[in-house]
Amino acid sequence: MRRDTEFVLTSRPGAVNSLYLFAVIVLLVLLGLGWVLVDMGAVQTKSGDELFMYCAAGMRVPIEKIAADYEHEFGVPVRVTYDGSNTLLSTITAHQKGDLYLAADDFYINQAQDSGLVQEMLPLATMRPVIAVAQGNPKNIQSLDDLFRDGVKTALGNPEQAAVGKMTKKLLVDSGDWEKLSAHVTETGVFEPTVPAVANAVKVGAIDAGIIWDTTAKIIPGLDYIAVPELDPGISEVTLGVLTSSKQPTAALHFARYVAAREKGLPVFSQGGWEVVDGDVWSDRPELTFYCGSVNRRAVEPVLEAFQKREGVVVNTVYNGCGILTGQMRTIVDQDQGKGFPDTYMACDVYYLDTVKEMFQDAVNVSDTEVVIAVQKGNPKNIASLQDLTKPGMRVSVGQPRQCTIGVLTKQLLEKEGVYDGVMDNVVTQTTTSALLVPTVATGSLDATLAYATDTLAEGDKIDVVRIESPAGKAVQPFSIARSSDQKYLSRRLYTAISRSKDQFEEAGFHWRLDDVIGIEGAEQLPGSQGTDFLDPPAKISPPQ
Amino acid sequence: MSSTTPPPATPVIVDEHRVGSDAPFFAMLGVIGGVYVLLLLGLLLADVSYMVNSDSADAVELSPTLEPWRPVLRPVLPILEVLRQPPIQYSIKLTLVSCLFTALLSLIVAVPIGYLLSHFRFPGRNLLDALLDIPIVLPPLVVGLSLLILFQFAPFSSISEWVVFEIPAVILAQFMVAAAFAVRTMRATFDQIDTRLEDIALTLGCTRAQAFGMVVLPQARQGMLTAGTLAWARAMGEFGPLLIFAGATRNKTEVLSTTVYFEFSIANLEGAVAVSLIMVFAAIIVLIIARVWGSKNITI
Repeated sequence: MRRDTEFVLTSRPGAVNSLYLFAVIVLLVLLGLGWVLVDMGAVQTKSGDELFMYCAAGMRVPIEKIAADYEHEFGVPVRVTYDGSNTLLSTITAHQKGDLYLAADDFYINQAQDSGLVQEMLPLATMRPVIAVAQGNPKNIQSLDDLFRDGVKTALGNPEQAAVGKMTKKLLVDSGDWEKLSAHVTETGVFEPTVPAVANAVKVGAIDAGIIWDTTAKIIPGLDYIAVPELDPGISEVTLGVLTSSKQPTAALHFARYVAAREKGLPVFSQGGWEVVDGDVWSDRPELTFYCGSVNRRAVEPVLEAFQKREGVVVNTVYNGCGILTGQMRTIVDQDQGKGFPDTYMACDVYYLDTVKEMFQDAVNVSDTEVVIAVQKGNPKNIASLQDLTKPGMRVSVGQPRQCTIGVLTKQLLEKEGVYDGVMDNVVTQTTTSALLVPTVATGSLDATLAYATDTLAEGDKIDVVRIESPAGKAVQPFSIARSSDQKYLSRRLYTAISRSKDQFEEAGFHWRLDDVIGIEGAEQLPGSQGTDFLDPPAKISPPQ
Repeated sequence: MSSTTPPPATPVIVDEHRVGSDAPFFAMLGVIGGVYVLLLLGLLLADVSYMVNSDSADAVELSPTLEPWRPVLRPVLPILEVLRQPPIQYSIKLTLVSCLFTALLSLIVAVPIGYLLSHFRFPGRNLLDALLDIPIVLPPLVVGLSLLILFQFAPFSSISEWVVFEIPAVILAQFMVAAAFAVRTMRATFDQIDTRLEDIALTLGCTRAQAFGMVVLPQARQGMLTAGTLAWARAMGEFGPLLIFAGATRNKTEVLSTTVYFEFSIANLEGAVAVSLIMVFAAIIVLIIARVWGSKNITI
């Protein structure tokens, strides 16, 4: 009896410490919800590796469709996060993760590349600013001047925040209208932070006219637009970049090529109203044919290896004397890549590219190397100049001018220095490529040869080098893309890879030329920026030969 | 009775001191308050009427039996259309589950902190109090950015792969702000609970945990419901930090607030308004729950 009373006093039946009850219930509910969340998240990763992409919000509709098509075709899901291009850039900077970045304007992707966040860039479409008005154009706006009329309220993108605003300001400063228009807009209209904000303001009728991208104007129902000459030159590129932070660059590039392929992603953009670039032909694993003068081999080989690995493509490289290579090119009917015509060509010297230049886009001069006299170790014959090669009894080798560049250069050099006949009297053998010249001296067979300085480096223990002080003794290596190639953009990326391999070229003994164009007016037009015939602008600023 | 007795002066006095009408006062209150209330209602009505007038209501297919009701159903049709899209369904589900998760997490944090702040004096209490207000006063974007930066540093960087731009980021971004509101509410709740009963429980031999669990907590039930619903509603309204820290990845980290933003950014105003209205309904339901079953006299 007494025990029972004590029991009741210390622990009343039914009295529960609600702290524990609360804890247990909350824990159970959290577990349940957590399971649901894990399940929701897990769905995404079941199908294997996925790609993560930052995408400008305005591109959402086509990208969603392309990503769905891609997942259907290859089973790789692409997770896309959307925001303004500039905000995304800040996020990428802070986070340093993810695979791809699609910017609505190449201004941001260029900025990302300058900061080392983006490695490859694939242009997709172009757009230009236009004046958007409500459907039917109720205020009858036909020109830029109409925006100054009383009673016309205009919205512009803020030049500090929106790419379209930045572009509008640049164009109108050029045309001399900016001061007046910005004052007018400040007084009666509005500056908006994004293109959709401008478009929506026009659409709902709060504003009469707004300057936005033509692509945006086309896809928004309820808007008409007017192209005006002042804004027409403002072409901007929608560009897809592959991030340097990507841990799966090959997979990212595979998707990027899919988006930028003329039968895959690009039609989706053009259906959505975008004016697309021509794009590469789609191939799961594209093959490039690359004709390469043999002098470049040592510098180019490691670059090609890395390029193939990262892109997941095959580069069929043909190294040979440039005379032979250009001869082959002329024999290939219709410049057909299927029959072996190259997509890209890097000659030993501009001389040979000139002979086939109608088949190629304009070139960029990547590097140059001197022609030197290679002699046996210790220089037993005391050769100090070209003149010495004319001495009786000298045994000399030179390149064959019809088959390789070194032969042409040697001929030009000797003629210029007035020793051609004398040296040719001593020539014992003429080789078909530059690669065969140095061994004739290194093996002790001959006394001297005229070879590229780059070819002599590897044999430094067997030969000595005598420099020739003549401006004619220099080979300049140009890189160019075939007009007939249907992989121009992939070729362009190959060029970009080569243009970033200064160290390899310098180690191989070349003088690097691409630095020379930096700082020259128009250098921002270097490959990867505007247009499709990309190699044209740099050629114009290459140092004269 | 003398006929010369002067008439009493009282009516005059009464007349002079008659209490004036309260109507102007209340009219003034009504007008000032009414303007704001009308504006609030106007917002919602504008959304609904935009839906009624939008073309998208015509585009929705209806079964023949429902067809005659189209004029009446017009405001709802775009919402139904939106609800049919799988990404939006996912977004709704993630919003509901993550907000509930966040609300519970916020409560777990808010109950002990609220209790500590309300009942105890300890060194650094004022500092803690100020610190807890930071998420409330900071622009939400700053919270998102700071979270993003935080996860670049060890030890957080080691788990950043599973958090940043993933669902846990959604919860964390919501939680950082929602918990601050829950803490305020719980503190106010515990402030209003008389400590006498707890003290008596202690004198009768209860441990602190027993006194808290058996005496204090049952009294705080309504306050907890209020704190939970407030945290829930705050989590649902979260947007800026999510965009930065969790991203807006379709079928992954997209919640309703980001859906609205992105429908807007592709100028699909009908879609944006439809999703907004879904959020308005959800908020109304939750806030009604809070008012009916929650604490009536707790404000933050």
